[in-house]
Amino acid sequence: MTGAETTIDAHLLRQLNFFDELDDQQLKKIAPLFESVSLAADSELFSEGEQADYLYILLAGRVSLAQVIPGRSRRQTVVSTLSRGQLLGWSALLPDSCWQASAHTLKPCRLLRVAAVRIREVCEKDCAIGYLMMKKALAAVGQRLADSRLQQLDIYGQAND
Amino acid sequence: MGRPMTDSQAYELKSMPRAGLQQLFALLVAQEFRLVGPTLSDGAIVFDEIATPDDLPVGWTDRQAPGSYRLEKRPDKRAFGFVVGPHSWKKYLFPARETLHRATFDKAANLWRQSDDNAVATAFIGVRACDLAAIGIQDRVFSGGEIVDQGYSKRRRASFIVAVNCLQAGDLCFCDSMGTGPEATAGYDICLTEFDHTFLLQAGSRRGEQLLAQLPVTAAAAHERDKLTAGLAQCRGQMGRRLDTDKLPGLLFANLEHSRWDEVAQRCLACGNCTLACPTCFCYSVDEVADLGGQPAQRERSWDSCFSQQHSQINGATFQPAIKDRYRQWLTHKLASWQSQFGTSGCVGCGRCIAWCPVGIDLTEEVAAIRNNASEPLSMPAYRPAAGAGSSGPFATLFAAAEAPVVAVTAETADTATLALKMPQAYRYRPGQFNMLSLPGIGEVPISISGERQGIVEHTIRSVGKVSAALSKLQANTAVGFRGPYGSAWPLAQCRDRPVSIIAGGIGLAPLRGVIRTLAAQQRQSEHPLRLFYGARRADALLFTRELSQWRRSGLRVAVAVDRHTPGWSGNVGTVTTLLRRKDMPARGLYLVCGPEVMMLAVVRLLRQAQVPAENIYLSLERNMKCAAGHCGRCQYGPYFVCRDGPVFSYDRLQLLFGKRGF
Repeated sequence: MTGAETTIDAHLLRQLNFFDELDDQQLKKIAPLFESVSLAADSELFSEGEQADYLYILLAGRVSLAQVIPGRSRRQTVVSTLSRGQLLGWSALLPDSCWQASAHTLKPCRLLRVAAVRIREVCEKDCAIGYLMMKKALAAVGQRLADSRLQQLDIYGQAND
Repeated sequence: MGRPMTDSQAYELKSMPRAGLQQLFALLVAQEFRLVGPTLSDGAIVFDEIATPDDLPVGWTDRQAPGSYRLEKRPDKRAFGFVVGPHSWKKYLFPARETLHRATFDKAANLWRQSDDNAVATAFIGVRACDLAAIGIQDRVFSGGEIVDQGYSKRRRASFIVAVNCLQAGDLCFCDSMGTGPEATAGYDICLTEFDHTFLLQAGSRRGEQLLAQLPVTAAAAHERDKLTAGLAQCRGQMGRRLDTDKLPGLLFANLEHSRWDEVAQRCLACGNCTLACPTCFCYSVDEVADLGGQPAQRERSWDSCFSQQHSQINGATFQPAIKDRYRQWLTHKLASWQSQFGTSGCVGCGRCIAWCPVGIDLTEEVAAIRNNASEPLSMPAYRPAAGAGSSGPFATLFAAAEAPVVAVTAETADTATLALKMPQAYRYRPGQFNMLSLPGIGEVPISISGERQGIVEHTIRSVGKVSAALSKLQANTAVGFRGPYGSAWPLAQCRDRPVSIIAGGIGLAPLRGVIRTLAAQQRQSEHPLRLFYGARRADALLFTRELSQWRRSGLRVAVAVDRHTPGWSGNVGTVTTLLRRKDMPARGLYLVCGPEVMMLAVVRLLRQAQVPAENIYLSLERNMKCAAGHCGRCQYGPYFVCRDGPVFSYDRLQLLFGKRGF
């Protein structure tokens, strides 16, 4: 991982939609767990199948999510891209899970990240924080699911394509 | 529901012995009218050419029930002693098949000419009050708007109407409920009332009055007037059916998912008999007819029915796939949408659709069933009479296409090309509108206008069917037929001093390009940068890529996403909604949306969730179109015609239907 890793305070989290339902005290409690990281364009953030170790929020840049289709292509197939403000690596919220896809930066990126073990620990111990985090994560996953469905419907194609 | 009695009218009621009818016929023939009227044929009373009163069904009557029609002998010699048969007068005024024009081009006028071969002066003998109302309704459809059907209008002007009052009602009659009968009150030249030995005659026009003056008539006696009044009252009492029209349009649209629609769909065969027998049903198809013998290509019009599969079909989509959808389309149009479209119900209460339905579906029974256990009526869009109705502007004649030279063809993607046409000096369009483009012998299609520069008007065409494929293969220095522009435009005036977001999917960018160009030119003065969100299937399907870069340079915020990643693409992979979620959607902003309907639906949901008011969202819809004037009925979307009321709608107008299946 390249770039300076800095710890961040509650003030920075306050500006993100993801945390807008947490009160100041709750924010203060989780802020020290987060750190900011920077990545150059064209670097790998995580790889499909590996242990999900961090939860990310993209502050700037663009990240592709890609999957390998064995026998299809030498390259991975990009299934979607994520941009500023989006949650990345939601798998890390679930215990013992691995990455569903590989994440790759398409532009220079700045991200917030929190170790999977630490955030799950907070969520388990403080159910109020846990509920709010899970609610936001579910909303993000739900939107991604809805968008994926629309993508899969091939809406611009013709009936006989 | 009685109408004013005859004695309140301008012309005096007269009495004539029965033998006078022959004289009336002779006078009409002397004025070179072809006589058409009821006559016996194949076990039914149908309309055909007649010569004398002996050709009328003298001494016959009809007995009708759902799915049943039988002739019976009458005890008397009355000639009009029946109600209605399978035919209506539309077979003459709006023939089932008609050649609109041949592909002989009038060079002097630079016009394709519409044929008016069949405007034969015709006297219609024995027009019932319900059928008079039906003719009045078709008059509104074909000649009451901005664009006039010349063929229909000519045939109407060439017609002489001899009406007949009904003194006897059938078991399927309900004109009294619909306020159309049984008394003929307007729209005729002469009205007859038949008794055993005499006819009462009433003129309804000057030429009717002049004709009447040549007949052996005397002023009607008081007892004859009384007999007429009593006869009409008796007829009202005999009506076998009743339809409760109270708040009916809003009621039907509030109950589109009523279980009765499923129930009736089990019985309905989707044969379309009801639409053929209906005296007001007007949907038609237009087809190019060419043969291998080198005959001139012809454009033919024929009756279509909303029960046919192709009625709602455009390439790649059928909007009314199920019988339930089609029956519901028919009934909601007839009894509800018609009010918003033409300011009148489409039903006159003649009962033909009940008699001639092979399984005896009875619309009065269906409506009563829906009323039972119904949700509260919705409020429906009000009827808006066309401004300048019946005007004869340069494009007011339906199907009169001019020829436009193709000055350039630009390939946009593998299946999409932009045709640049040189338009006549007077041609003006507003972004969002469309033209009908045609090729003789191949066909005509609506194509949205994708921009204009110095009289060169661009049309971006995706090759999806026979006509669009032929159009997109044209070369420069050829020509196409065009008529237009038609339809509504994007609300450019409202775009000033507010954040505007343009949301396009696939070919949906084409009708928005004119707006983007206009707003991009004003970018420097605007404090709100214009935002464009554009989605396409793949990178190689993106339209106007060079212009997208130009727009970016001139300050537009352009975000693009593709569904499928292809090598070399480093932009967004996802849908338009993914792009929208990343940005603020201010409630006072204006949102112009065009793309596949499922995409627009997702966009509308997202915007509504962001508290954007319905009236700040504009959508452009696509439906099957043949005429572009609200005449052919193909592009109906509930109370609207997409060609005339759209294609651009503010979402508050569409809310009652948008996203509902089967429309």
